[in-house]
Amino acid sequence: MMADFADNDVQKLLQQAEERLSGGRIAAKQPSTASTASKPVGEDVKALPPKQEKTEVRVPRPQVAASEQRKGKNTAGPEWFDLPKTNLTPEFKRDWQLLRMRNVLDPKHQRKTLRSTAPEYSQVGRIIASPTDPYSARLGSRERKSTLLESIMSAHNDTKLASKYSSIQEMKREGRKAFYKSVVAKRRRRN
Amino acid sequence: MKGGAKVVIEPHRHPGVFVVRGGKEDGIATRNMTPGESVYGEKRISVDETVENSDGTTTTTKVEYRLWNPFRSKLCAAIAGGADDIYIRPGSRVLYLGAASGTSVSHVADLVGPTGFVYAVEFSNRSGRDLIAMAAKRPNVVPIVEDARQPVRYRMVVPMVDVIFADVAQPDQARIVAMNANWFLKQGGGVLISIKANCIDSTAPAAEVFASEVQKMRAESIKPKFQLTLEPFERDHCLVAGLYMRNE
Repeated sequence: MMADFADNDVQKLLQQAEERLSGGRIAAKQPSTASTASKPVGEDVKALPPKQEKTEVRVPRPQVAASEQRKGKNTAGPEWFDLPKTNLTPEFKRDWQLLRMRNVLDPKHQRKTLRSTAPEYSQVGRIIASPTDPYSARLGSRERKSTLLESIMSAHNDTKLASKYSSIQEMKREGRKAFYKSVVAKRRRRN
Repeated sequence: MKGGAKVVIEPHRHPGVFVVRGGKEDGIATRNMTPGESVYGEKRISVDETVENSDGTTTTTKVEYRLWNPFRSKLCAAIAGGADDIYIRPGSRVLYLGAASGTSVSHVADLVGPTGFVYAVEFSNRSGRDLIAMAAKRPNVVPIVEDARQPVRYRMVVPMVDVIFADVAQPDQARIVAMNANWFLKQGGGVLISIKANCIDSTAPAAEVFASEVQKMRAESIKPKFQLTLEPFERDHCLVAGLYMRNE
């Protein structure tokens, strides 16, 4: 197989392969070697000025994070239809804290855990109540609150826990010492 | 989320999509192109946006968002299920095959915004009527009541598109998508196919049907990128996403 190639061809192929391996950096060398090959032996090769090798250095550009790119901008950009920057009022901060802790407020339903910092771009809106909605899917005018905190506070029943506790205790006390004593006291009062 | 409740709206990972956080639950929403109207009785969220003018005065404009129900839209189910990329973004041109009454199409129209276009193809006349009624109020929706098997018939209406979304539920779904991609989809454009296992082959197990559909897509020079089950929202459905690599 090797005999099929002429010596000249082999040299050329090797050179090409070298070029490919080096990613084109040796390409500049090629004419100089060709010139030396064509020159008669004995002539001073060193007299030629050494050719500058063309070096291509890839300067890596640091990738800019999306959050860095948007620094100093007032909106989330056209990708989110210019959603404005969060208005970080004390009420909003508290609402966000509440949203983060909603798993604690209602442990029966599991929801995604939110990050601790408030979103950079956000808006606070209100769900439009439609007259065709059933009453269970609407809030009355008194139930409407200006913040999430207030709505959760109003929905939370403070006395529920205490009344439940007392009713259970009452049931448990039945037939025991205190219960018997009260029965006796009532009987004495009657007599 | 009850009517009248306060919610926080923040951007979703996918461009053009928003997350709505209420006290009790979260939702996905799009910005309403036609404020003041819901298409299929979905809940809307109103936000007062205050902008300060150059002369110091402020103007308040109303911005509306529409809640997107993942139980009614396969694309929303895919977003809620954590799709890597939906390829659709503001300014995209989308060919939507199997538009039905246009409930999902209206959200895609919101997503691509006023600079994008949605070409919604639906064969059924009855659903097509609702689709046209929806499109009448949205300048970026082009309703096409035609057979998606014959893209020749609407070739004069549809230009080159960035994304094809297909929800046609036909046994030859892959072929329909490939034909439309061949006509309209750009090189490297996104393909989203929602596959209902029952509609392709009701006797084979779902996983096998999905695998065979992905193989068919490969044969049609669509490079599959990810496959996603729509499980909590739809039974035996999956969404396959790929890129159209015509010349490779």
